[in-house]
Amino acid sequence: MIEQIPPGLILIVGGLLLPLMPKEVRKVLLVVLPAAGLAHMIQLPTDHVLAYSVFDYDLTMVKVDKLSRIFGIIFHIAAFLTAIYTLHEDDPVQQVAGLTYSGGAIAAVFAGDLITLFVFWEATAITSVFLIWASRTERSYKTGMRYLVMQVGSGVLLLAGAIVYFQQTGSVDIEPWTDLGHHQMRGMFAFDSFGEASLAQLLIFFAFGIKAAFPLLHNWLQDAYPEATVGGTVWLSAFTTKLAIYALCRMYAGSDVLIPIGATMTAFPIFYAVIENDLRKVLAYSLNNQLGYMVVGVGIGTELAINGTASHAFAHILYKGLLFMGMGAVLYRAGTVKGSELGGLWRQMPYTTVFTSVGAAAISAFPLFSGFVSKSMILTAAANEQHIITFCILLFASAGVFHHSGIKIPYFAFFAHDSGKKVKEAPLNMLIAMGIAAALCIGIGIWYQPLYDLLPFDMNALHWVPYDTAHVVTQLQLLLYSAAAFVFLQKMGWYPPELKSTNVDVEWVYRKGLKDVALATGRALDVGYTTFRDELFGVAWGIVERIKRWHSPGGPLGEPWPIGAAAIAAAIMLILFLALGWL
Amino acid sequence: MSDHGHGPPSVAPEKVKVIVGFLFFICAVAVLGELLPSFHPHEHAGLEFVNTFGFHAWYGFLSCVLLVLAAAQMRKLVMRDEDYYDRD
Repeated sequence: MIEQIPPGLILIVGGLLLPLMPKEVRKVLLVVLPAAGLAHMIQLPTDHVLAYSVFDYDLTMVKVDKLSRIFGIIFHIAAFLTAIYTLHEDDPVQQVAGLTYSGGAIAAVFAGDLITLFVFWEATAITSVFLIWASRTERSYKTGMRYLVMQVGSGVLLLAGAIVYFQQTGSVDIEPWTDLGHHQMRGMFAFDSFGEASLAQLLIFFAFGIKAAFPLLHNWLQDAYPEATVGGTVWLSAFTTKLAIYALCRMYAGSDVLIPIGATMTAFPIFYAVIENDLRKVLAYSLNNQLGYMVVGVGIGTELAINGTASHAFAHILYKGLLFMGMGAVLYRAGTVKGSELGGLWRQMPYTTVFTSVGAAAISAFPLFSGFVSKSMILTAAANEQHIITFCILLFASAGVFHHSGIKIPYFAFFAHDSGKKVKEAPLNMLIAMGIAAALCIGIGIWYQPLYDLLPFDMNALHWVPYDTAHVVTQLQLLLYSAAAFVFLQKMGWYPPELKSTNVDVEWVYRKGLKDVALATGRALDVGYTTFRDELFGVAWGIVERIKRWHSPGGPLGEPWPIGAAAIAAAIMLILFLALGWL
Repeated sequence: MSDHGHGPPSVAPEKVKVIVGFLFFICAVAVLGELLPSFHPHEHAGLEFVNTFGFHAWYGFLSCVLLVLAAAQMRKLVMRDEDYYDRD
């Protein structure tokens, strides 16, 4: 019986019932439901399938394998930790949104066909926008609308792709990878160049690409995440983008086109991260960079690369969530996360400082922290497959990550110059959530085997050892000399100061460029229409006036004509008719 | 230490000196780590240059310096007022 319940449903149904409960019960359920969902999901066997029929179509609600399982586990853990983190705040809107959003993402991960995936794909879009709107500001309302357009647009592309694919093949089933031999996997929709891709492949590719924040499709992420509530951003950071990574991994593994796309994603956001003032936006750019590693891993598509992608997604959800929790705590206490207004909070928020620093070390992939045992697999896979330029870009981005996430975030929030702000340490529930996440970041870095056991391919068979002298020494060199570069740039006065500013990105096209074009076009149309209307009215009035004048008393047609004149007119008419008849 | 522009340093300059000194010390140790007998770099065709002595050290340092200098120049191109999008 319990196996008939799809994973995620406990969170969705529980979340929807939440508003009916009293405040204290709501808080308990908020934490208990993800734990119950995880307990239920874990006991499902790895080959478990749950089919259903709609309008004579056979669909697959649940299909469990090792890939869906690891994403399902980390999504539940993320929901559990975020629930604890948000306990201090009693906002039923966010509670319902958070639980149904995470439940939708979990259900999507276990979807066995494209239609079921589409339903939960859209569910994550519609539920998550309330985490932005829950800020209850005019600004967040507008941001939420932009976010919703992008997210629902992604779903529409997915549905269109599914329909085209169904017309071609008569199936919407999500197929397993094809084993090409030599540890190389290939997803059902994989393609190596855009020229060879079918319409269905392209539509679904861009559907996933929007949510995975591919270059040029990425800006919804940096636009929306910093505008969400303190807890909302933590919810958002875990699910949407990693669901897209999961979907790419499932269906596009081994696509060569993903390698340059992923490499670009690792590199360009870090430039923005260096100059961005809003520290939650810095983290959003950094999130984009981390997704790049995973996209490269999917594109390489070897067993090691896929394991690297899955483990990096697992580790990333924890440390990125932790960093957003740390900055959320700062926002909650100090009322801002602008680097230009912060500094010196380490004395007042010592625990938050320590936990955030652990997250910073984990994202930077310091030895003994989680990022180290996951990211290195992707870099090694790139080197194994001789993607030399990609490898160098990933190495550059690894140094850059440490620079902006590892150093900049803790430095400008907790150290640097004293901002003079008098704040309290984060609430206990926030500290507990951050403490557990930090413990997991360190725990995975040291005792990585339980994580490796969850990966799709047997790590022992791949002969992978994360800790060897060469790997540890070279990684330490990369990171420590990045830190030295930070000191050097500060000493020289070359480090760009934190400034109150907005940095224009691709969103300029639709927030400013297209808006200005639309406004200018509207104004031109308005002027044109007004001129045309006035001219037309002028001509029409002229005719009416003339007719009126002619027929008015005194006008040529308004007066009685003499009989003689009428006879002459009739004679002229007769002569004209005769002439016409003769001709 | 920074151009942060307000308030005194939150960490005493003497302590910063100690921290920076320690950083430089472990930077040196990290490069010397390549001399350990157990240091066996992984060989990848086409990536032999990665295994030259101290590669990761200078690559990390140079990457960050170039990243920051390029990003600072990028400000000229992309930086606008805070309310840039809110103005009509």
